[in-house]
Amino acid sequence: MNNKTGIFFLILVFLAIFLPFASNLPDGLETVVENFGDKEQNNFWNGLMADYLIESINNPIISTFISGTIGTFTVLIAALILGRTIQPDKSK
Amino acid sequence: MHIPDGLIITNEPLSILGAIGMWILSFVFLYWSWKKTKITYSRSLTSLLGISSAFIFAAQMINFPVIFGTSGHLVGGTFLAILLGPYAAILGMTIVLIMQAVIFADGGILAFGANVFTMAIIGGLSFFLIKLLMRNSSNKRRLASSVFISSWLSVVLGALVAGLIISPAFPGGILTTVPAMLIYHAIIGIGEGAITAILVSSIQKIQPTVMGGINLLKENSI
Repeated sequence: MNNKTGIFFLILVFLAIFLPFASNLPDGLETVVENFGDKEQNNFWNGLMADYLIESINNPIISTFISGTIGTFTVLIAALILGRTIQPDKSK
Repeated sequence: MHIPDGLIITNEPLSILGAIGMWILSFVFLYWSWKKTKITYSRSLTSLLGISSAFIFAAQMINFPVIFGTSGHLVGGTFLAILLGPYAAILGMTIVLIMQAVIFADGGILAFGANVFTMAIIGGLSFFLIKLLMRNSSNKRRLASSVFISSWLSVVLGALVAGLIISPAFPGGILTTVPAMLIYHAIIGIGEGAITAILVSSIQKIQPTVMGGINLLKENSI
């Protein structure tokens, strides 16, 4: 597991292969909301890239892929920092 | 299963109270996981925590269609637990949820505590069900079926809690949301179970040393 960069790119390859086939249907909770709930919802925070899309890119797959790449990278960095912070107890 | 703030900000004060309660409960579990991670692991988890959390983020973007015009995606809590053990899995999954909420508005900020509980905490704790079902066995088929059952149950239990949390926002209340969430997620959970079992079996064949969580399955002190 030393080659983090290599595995990161493998994850992006995985994303590129599967994203075009990803379903646009609502997920389980969204289906429950659509069928039984109030569709008008007040969200006070709409994120930086809502719905995994970048506004200036029209192609939805490319837009989602780029936002997915950014997300994967930020999770990687944040989790690496977390891992460094929780160094195991030396005494064990 | 990411609860948006729209289902928390309602005219019912119970929604907000529930969301605050879930924040507090999740915070307690996160603190516990942090402490346990520090004492449970004898080696650094940094690389595996980073890579596996990043993979779960990417995998959660791939929705697969299920019946009744709905879709599901891997949650990945059980998968992370097999790789990292329960405590680090809870923390890794929380990182994924933070990024989803803050950058992509996938899951709300007020609802964040509930989302951490339903996906990160229940997912991570599903490790103990695998441990119970394995009973010190090393049989690969038994592991695959234990992983399948535990990941399925983690999705269904998460859906149950989510159904309770969102119920004040629905005219039909709990009697609508809980059965509906359970039915959809009992089906979505089959996908979760199958994908997790396949991933775990594949990694066990290709690179078994990666799965640190499996070693923890046999430790009584955990």
